Amino acid sequence: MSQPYAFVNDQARHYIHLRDQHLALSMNARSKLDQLNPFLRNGMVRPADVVVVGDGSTNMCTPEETRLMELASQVRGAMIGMSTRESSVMTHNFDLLQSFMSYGSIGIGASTAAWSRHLKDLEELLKQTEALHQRWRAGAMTNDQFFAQRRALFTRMETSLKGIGRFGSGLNNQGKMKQILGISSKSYLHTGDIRGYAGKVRSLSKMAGAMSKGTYVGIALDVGAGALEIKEACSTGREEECTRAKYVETGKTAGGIFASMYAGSAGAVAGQSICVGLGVASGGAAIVGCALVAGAVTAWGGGKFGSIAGENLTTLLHGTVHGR
Amino acid sequence: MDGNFILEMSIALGTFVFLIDVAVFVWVAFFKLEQIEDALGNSKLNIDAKRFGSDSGLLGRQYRLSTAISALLFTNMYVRKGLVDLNDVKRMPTHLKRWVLIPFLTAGVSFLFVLVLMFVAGKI
Repeated sequence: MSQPYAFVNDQARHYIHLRDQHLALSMNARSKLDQLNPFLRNGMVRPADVVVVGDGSTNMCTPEETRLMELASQVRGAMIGMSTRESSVMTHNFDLLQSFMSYGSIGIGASTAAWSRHLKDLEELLKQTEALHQRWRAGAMTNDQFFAQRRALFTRMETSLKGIGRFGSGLNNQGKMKQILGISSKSYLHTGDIRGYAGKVRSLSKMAGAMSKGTYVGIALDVGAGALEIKEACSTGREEECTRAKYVETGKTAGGIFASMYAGSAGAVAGQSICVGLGVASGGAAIVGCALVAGAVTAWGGGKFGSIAGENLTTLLHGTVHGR
Repeated sequence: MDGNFILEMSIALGTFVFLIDVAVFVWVAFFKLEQIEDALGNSKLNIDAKRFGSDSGLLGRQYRLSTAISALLFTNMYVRKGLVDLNDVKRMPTHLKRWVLIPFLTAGVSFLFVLVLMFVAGKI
């Protein structure tokens, strides 16, 4: 291997075992591996740890290797205080946890019209990409045509996913489009991807905190989307439409947030009680799982319903106050 | 006064009551939760909820409060499974029980009320 690379360790194993049996490196490469992984040397390598494998052609550290080492040490630093079990859960459910973090705001973030439109656009782009792949496989187009068209679609998707655009989409915005869509293998990562991984581990290792922020982010998104609708109505429409938008959007946002909060809690009460009643769970993480799954579903439904009810209430209020 | 007007007003009133109830519910989650958990003592359910729900902000508080509510609503079932101590629930001050149950149950009733009326009115 002439290019240095790094990979994410998937199960707890001893460093020596990893070096000699798992990677089966030559004697020369072994000392280089020791040099590149000072944190792992002589100990257990935990799941989610990044292992840097060097450029076999030289004993010197290349700049690329130094960068990978820095990122590996960042990952290790972010995992301080995590147990082996936790880090193992994190590695094996990396995608799930990540989408869970985005969906932490599911009942709230996805409830507004503006947001659903954004997600629909994304869905349309994904469908177009899939159709393009099918046409290419069927031999309906040349490679050049295919790559050019795919690049155009990817560029549009990347633009939509920038910043807060990824929330609720289930897609992350780190790395190249191919990785985001899971087209290429994820097990071996190069510098660009590993940088994304280091960033993600930092946030995932604080899962609990991040989850709670998911709720606040969802609230902020909903309020932001409502404010955008108002701004749009006020800049393009007449004064009447602007005033109406202020009422309706505020009602929709408040109704959606409040109802999803309540429905989430009610779902959590029902979920854990049903699990305990049926004997599926007797404590610990199983009950939390029941509560979260039921809570997320009801929060989503509650958010939808609440925004309709809120809109209804404020439309009525607007009609009464302004004598429509 | 026609039927439609009454229906509209009932939906509006129901939504309004629901919003107030949820506001109180969130207030309880922020300012009364610790007292409620203390009153529930060292039951397994309570300890687990604190372990999973602490340090996770609003979502964690919502989860912990939901656990306390289920312990109060389905006490016998949780006692049978050994997750809650019956004496803790019995000893819990009445005013705390009211803070937990009244907003939760009235919000539930108004939620269903509005849901049914909106369905009748053809809004959903």
